[in-house]
This record gives sequence, structure tokens and C-alpha cells, in this order.
Amino acid sequence: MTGWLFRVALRLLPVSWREAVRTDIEDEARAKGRGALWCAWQALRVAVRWRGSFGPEALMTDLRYIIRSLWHAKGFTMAAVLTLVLGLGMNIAVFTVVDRMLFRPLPFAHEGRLVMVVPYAPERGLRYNQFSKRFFVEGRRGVAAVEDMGFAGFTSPHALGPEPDAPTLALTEVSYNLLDVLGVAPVAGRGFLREDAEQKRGVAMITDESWRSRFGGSASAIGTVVRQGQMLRTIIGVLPRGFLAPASARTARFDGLYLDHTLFESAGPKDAVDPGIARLAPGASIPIAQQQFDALGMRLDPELGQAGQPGPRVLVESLRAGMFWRAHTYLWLVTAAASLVGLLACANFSSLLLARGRARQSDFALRASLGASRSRLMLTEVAQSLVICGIAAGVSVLALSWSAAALRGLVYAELRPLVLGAVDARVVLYAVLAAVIAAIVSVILPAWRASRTGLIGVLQRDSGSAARVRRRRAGGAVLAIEAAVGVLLVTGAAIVVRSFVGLATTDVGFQARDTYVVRVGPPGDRQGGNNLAELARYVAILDEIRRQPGVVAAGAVDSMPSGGAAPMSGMRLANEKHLGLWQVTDGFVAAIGARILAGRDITRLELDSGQPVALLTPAAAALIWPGENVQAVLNREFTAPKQPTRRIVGIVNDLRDRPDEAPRPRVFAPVQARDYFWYLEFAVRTEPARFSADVLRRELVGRHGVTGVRIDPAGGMATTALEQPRAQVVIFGAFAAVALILAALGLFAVASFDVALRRPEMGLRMALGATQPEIRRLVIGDALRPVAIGVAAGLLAAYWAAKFTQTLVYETDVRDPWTLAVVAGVLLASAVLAAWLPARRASHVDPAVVLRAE
Amino acid sequence: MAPRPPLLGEVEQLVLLAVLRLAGEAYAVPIRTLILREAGVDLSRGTIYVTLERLERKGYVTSWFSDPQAVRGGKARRVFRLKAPGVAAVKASKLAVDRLAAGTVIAPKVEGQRP
Repeated sequence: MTGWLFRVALRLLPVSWREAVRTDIEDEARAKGRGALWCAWQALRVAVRWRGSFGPEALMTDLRYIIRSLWHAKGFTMAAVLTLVLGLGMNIAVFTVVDRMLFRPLPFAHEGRLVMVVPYAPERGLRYNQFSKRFFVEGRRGVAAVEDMGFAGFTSPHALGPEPDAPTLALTEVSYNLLDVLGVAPVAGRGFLREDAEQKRGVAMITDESWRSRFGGSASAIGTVVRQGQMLRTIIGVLPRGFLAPASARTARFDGLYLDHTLFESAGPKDAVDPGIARLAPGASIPIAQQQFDALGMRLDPELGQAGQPGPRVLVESLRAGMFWRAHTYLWLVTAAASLVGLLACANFSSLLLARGRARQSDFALRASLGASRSRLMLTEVAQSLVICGIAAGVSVLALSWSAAALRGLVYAELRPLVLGAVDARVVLYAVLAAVIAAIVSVILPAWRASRTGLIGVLQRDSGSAARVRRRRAGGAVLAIEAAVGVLLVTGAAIVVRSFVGLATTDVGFQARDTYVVRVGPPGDRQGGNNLAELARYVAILDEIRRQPGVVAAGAVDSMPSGGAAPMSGMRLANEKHLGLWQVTDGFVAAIGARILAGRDITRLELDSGQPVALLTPAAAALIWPGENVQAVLNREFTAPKQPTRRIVGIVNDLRDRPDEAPRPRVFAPVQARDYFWYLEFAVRTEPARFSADVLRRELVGRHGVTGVRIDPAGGMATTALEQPRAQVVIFGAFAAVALILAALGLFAVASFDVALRRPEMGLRMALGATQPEIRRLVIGDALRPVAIGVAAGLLAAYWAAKFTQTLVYETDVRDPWTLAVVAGVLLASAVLAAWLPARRASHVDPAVVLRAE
Repeated sequence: MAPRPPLLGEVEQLVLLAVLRLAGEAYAVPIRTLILREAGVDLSRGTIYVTLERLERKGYVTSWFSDPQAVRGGKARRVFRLKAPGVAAVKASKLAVDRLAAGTVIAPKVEGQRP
């Protein structure tokens, strides 16, 4: 009954001892009246002792054998290592990119209990940046599942000195209790205290990284004053190494935190705070917290509650999901694509091993007949595969350690600080794991095949049709998998490229090319200055800029768009609709490359005399006078609460903040001298051949005594919006290229192997009158059949996967039949190309030579 | 002077002596039993096999499969015999111990007594 256990245990011993050990144990069992289980146990103990004594020796012998045979088959080794370097390297590279965001524990003590509480509108799937402070305060006090809750908000630059070109630190606004919520203690200085918020102290903390890079890790950093506009803040502490801003709005830079003075005592109906970061009470879970917050929403908004409508809602999600929600799908897709490329490389390696197995058949048979057990033959194959994968992983890690920093280019700016800049222990561990998995996945089929080699068959030169069909089926299955994976990856790339082209060619309504942003420092005495004189000074600078050679148009604005075309201020119409308001000088519209569709620009006279006129975009006109022809609104007047009545003098083309967003309603009005701190920036459109930023700077400083001139290209405006899609194009394009190369190489290997195997058959066919084109068609047809099956399966999979990718692309139908057809065509065409060389070789077989060899 | 064979390990010595004494009947089970009875050392089954394999690789013993036992279903056993280098090794080993021990009285040390 349990005799098989005994037999299995005996198989762990070398053949030369198996019988002797079996006889000894069976004799003793008979004498002592023991059963088969006892026998198995005894045999196992012997086997363990045996392996302990001779195992390492045998391993070394095997290793020597493997390395020798790999050295002799240099072509095979190179092809296998290259294939795997592509597949494994891509996976390891992607791991270094996504690890901090997807897998690595967050640098907070209570990670398992940290959640983000985000205000959102479930019916519209929208998340908001701010929510009612009342809700926040009540939630912090009244939701039992929450132990404490703080918040992290926007990040803004803080200058290290008063001069306008002083280096800056990007600091994120947080509540006084945030570090307590996260369970993070400062490594130097102190953290934020409740008293700091109560006494409205301007205080900030910096990251360990910026402490080292900016202050050389010196203690004098504590006490340094940084400034955000007129606000002064003192650095009081240093955050631990690796600290991440726990905010949902990710920024390209993060250098520390500054304190927001919000206390959570009370809240007016209109107060708002940033999304919450909460630590759940021990034992509480996200669903429980969600339920309690939902109940709170009902209670706070009884009218909605009674009507059975949802009240103000929040989404409770893990802190990781909240921090990276924007990139989450993208990162998982990249990971999935990399895994597919890895799978493709494994399939390729597998078919290379199969081909090599054929060449080494007699070797296997000889070893088997000399007493190597089946398991030993299989283990040698596994070890060989491990050695090759190990070499490939080593090469990949080496290559990565030189290029790790360049990998940051694979993600868009706001995620870049999260990409590891170097290879560390986790990456190496991952590489080892990936190599082992790849080795085992690739070797299953070839090892099984190798272990089934019989001496008789090989000696008889068994090329019988049944054996051949079996072998071809194995190769065909591998090919079909490769084709399917290739279709998935190439489809992904095609969709991403189409989406990118769509975005890049969308007219955002303004042009950043050849446009500069000029900023000047304030005059010496701003306090109590004459605002009209201040405006006159800006106008004088503007005129000076316009006089410079190469300046096509110039204008000033209260805040130059940096990330998109969003203005700083806005106005709310009586019907609660929101319009973005830009306060500009004459010439600004032309300076940003927008067009006036009807009417005219603001005049200098209107600017100087502060006349209430305005330019509208069609989107804004549609909000104020819904359903009316844009041309008809010229010269009409409109007003909004707390705003003067303005007369429309012109219509400017629609402007988009980002290419993937709809045009926003915008109003341009002349700058008004105001009684509080204000500031203008200049947009300068140039003719690049004649314009020189240095000349402009010199002129401004020399003639007008202007200090702190900064001249930057306005590239940021449109390009940041394209950055994410461009990163997608680069990464998916790389995946698709590697996939195509691997699939073609795999097909080439299998077809060559098949042709080599069938030389006698080809010879016979030709002897019987088959022509060269017929033989070529035969070989290509045989190679294409599994590819066609794989392509069909891949298309189905791509169609199914569309539901995950649709959200990532801009106005592109991810199930577009044309795209799928082109992808299928590309795959099949590369298959034909890959099979062409082996087919040619087959058609050149000389029947006389082959048949004589038989 | 002919090169002296390398010294044997303790277990190797025991197993070689057992093979010598069992002359023609030396297979794993009686070897183990003999060592337990005469030397009071209980070697594990695995140790016996491993040691025999090692001795055979060193060229000290040789083995063959005996005729099947004269019982129903009787099987062949792997029987061991000393080769010349094995005999030399046992001799050298014994000689080394004897010379070293010459003239000394090996008595058990008794607790609390000075020698």
C-alpha cells in the first residue's frame, strides 16, 4: 500500500546502491515485523545521509558539466542570455520603478492602520481636493473607528533667501497632528506641536535628503528661515530618511512639510480642509470606517438623509491607494506588460532549450544508460536553466546599476521622486526570485522531454512521425503563446501611441513654443506704495520688453500659467457657475499665442483708465448666455457678485488647461491696481533667431534698475500635460518592440529547428517532385499555423483587457477594429519574415545528399 | 620507503575491520551489527552505506552482488571484500596507534583523584 513511498525514497539513492539498500531494509523489516512505512522512513534517512555526504560533490560535478557544455555551445548560450536579459532586465527595471509605490512598505509606523479619507461624489466618480471642515471635525471626534485624523495638502515652493532666484524647497502643508497620526518622529530638532498651531507660528520641517543636500547635514539647518511670498517659516526639525509626502496630490519635488494652523475645535459652514489622513483604532477596518463615515454624512445632512439621498460622502481607502490613486492603474499595467515580456522571454528560452535538447539527445541517452536517473537528468536540465537565468539576471542588475537613474524617465514628473535611483538589496532579491521563476517556468517542458529520452530510440535515429509530431506540438504551443502575448503588448502600444498622437495634436488654444515667462523682483519699497505708480512701472517694463529685438508680442498677467492654462483667480456667477479670471495687459492674448475670434484686444487706454471691459472665451460666453451665438454677445455687459459690470469687447479662442480636458470658461480683464500685495508676470512671444534672453535681462537691469530678473521658457504650460502620455508611449513602445523581437526570434528558432529535423522529409519530397516554392510555402505555412492561433487568442484577450485600459487613454477606442487588424497584420508579417530564412534553407535541401545520408 | 597510506577515519577503521572479520559475508547489515556488538558503537544505516561507498572510491574495498539467497524470493546482496591497499591502510592505522600508545598505561581517570 505504502510500498510506493518506499520506492520513491529509494529513487533518491544512486542506482548502484538501490537494490542493496532495498534488500537490507526489507530483510530487517521482515525480521522486526515492520511495515512499508517504516521501510520508506529508513530509506529516506539513508538518502538524506547520502545526499549530505555526496550531494555537494555531485552538485559540483553537475555544475562543471553544465558550464563546460554551455561554453561549448556559445551560440545557444548567447542567444538564451540575450533573450533573458531583455525579459528579466525589463522586469527588474520595472520593479525598481514601481516598488516604492506598489510593494515596499510605506515609511510610516502604523501603515496597516492608516487610511486616506477623501471627499468624493460616487455618482460622478469624482474626488475632491477639499472637503467641509465641519465633516472633518465631526469625523475626527465622532467616528469610533478613527483614532486620530490629520491632513496633508498642497505643496508650494519656499525660498531659502530673499533674492528672487534663491533656491527653493518644496514644502507640503500639513496639520499639526499629522506626524503623530503617521507614527513618525523627527531625526533632529522637533516635530509640530499643537501650541505651534494655536500661536500661529510659521514652522517647517525638512526631509533628511534635503537636510543633507542643502545643509550638509549641519545642525545649523534648524532655525533657518524659509519664505513663501511674505510668509516666513522657521525650520524646526528633520524628517526621517525616506519619508514620503502622504498627500494624494503628488508633486515633482518634495523637500519637507510646513504647518497649517488649522485646529480641529470648531468649523464654520464654509470652512474647508484638505483630504484627511486617519489612523484607525486597533481592530477597526476600512469597511467599518466607511460605514461610520457614511452614517456621519447622513447625520450632518439630514435633509438628504430623509430623502434617501446620500449625504456628503467620503471614500475611505488605504493610505497607499490614496497616495498613488492617479498612477495606480498605470503602474499595474506597466507591471503586467513587463510580466508579459518576461513570459515571452521564458517561452523563447524554452524553445531554445527544446531545440538544444534535440541536439543533445544522444548525450542524454548515454548518461541515462550509464545509470543517471530520470530525476538526475531533469535536475541537470533545471540546473542548466538556473545557471543561464542567473547569468542573465546578473547582467541585467549590472546594466541597471549603471542606468537606474535614467529609469526615472519611465514615469512622469510627479512620480519621479518615488523611483529608486539605485539598485539595492530588494532589487537584487527580486532579480534572484525572477531568475529562479523564469528558470523553472522555462525548463518544465524541455526537462520533461530530456528525461524521456531512451537509448534505443536515439540509437535507432528515431525520427518516426509520431515522435516528430509530439516535438512539433511542443514547439507550436510555445509559439502560439508567444504570438498571443505579442498581440497583447503590441495592441497596448498601438493604443497608447494613438492616444498620444491625439493629445499632441489637440489644440489647447495657446502655444508655449518660443514663449518665455519673465519675472522681475518687486521695487525696494512696496509697503504703502502707490498702486497706480506700481502699475505704471510694470507697463514701462512691458514697453521696454516690446522694444527688444526678436520680441513678437508681450503682455503681463497676474499669474502666469505654469502647469496648464489655469488662472489664479476666478469669479462666481449668480447662477453659481465658475469662471476663471485673468487680469492682463494689452497684448497678453497674442503673447500666449491665442487668437481673437471676434472683436478686439484690450487697449492701453482701457488698461490705464481701468475701464471695465473684458474678453471671453466661447466656453465662458456659453455659461453666461447659454445657447446664444458667440458673435452676438459682443458689446453686451455682464456682472457677477462682488465684480464690476464688464462690457465684452472681444472673443478669444477656447483654452484648455490640459489637452485631455474640455475647454474651461475664461475671462480676460484689464489689470486693476489693488490695495494688497500683487504682482505681474510677463509672457513674451519671440522670434527665436533674433531674441536673446541675456540681452533682455541686461537691458531690464541696466535701464530700469529692475532687480531679480528671471527668464524661463514657458514650455511647462503644455508639455507637462503631455508628459504622462509621452512616458506611456516610451514604455509601451519599448515593451512592444521587445515583444516583437522576442516573438520573431522564437519563431525563427522553432522554424529552424523544425527544418533541421525534417531535412530527410524535405529531401524525399523534392525527390518526388516538389518544387522549391512549394517547400517554402510548406515550411512557412507550418510555422504560421500556431502563430495564427496565438494571434486569434491574443486579439480576444486584448478585447477583454480593453476594460482596464480604456480609462488610461484619451479619446481612443481601445477596441478599434482597425488597430486590432493592423496589430494582427504586423505580428503575422514578422512571423513570415522570421520563417523565411529557415524556409529558404529547406528549399535548398539537396535530395541526393540527404537521402544518401539516410 | 613506500609512501605510507593516509590515515583512516575512526568510522572507516571500524568498517574496514568489520569487513575484514566478516570475510565473504560482509554486507551492510552484519557490518553494522558487528560494530555495535564488538565496539559498542551504534552507527546509522546511512553512515555504513556512505562509508562503504567512500572506501570503495578510495580503492580500499571492492564489492560484488552475491548469488540470490536460497529462499523463496531471495535477493542478491552487495558484498564487500578488502583490497590490498585496504589491508595496508588498516595495518598502518593500527601500527600508528600501537606505537603512539607504547609504554603508556591507559587507565580511566577517577573523579577527585590526582594521577
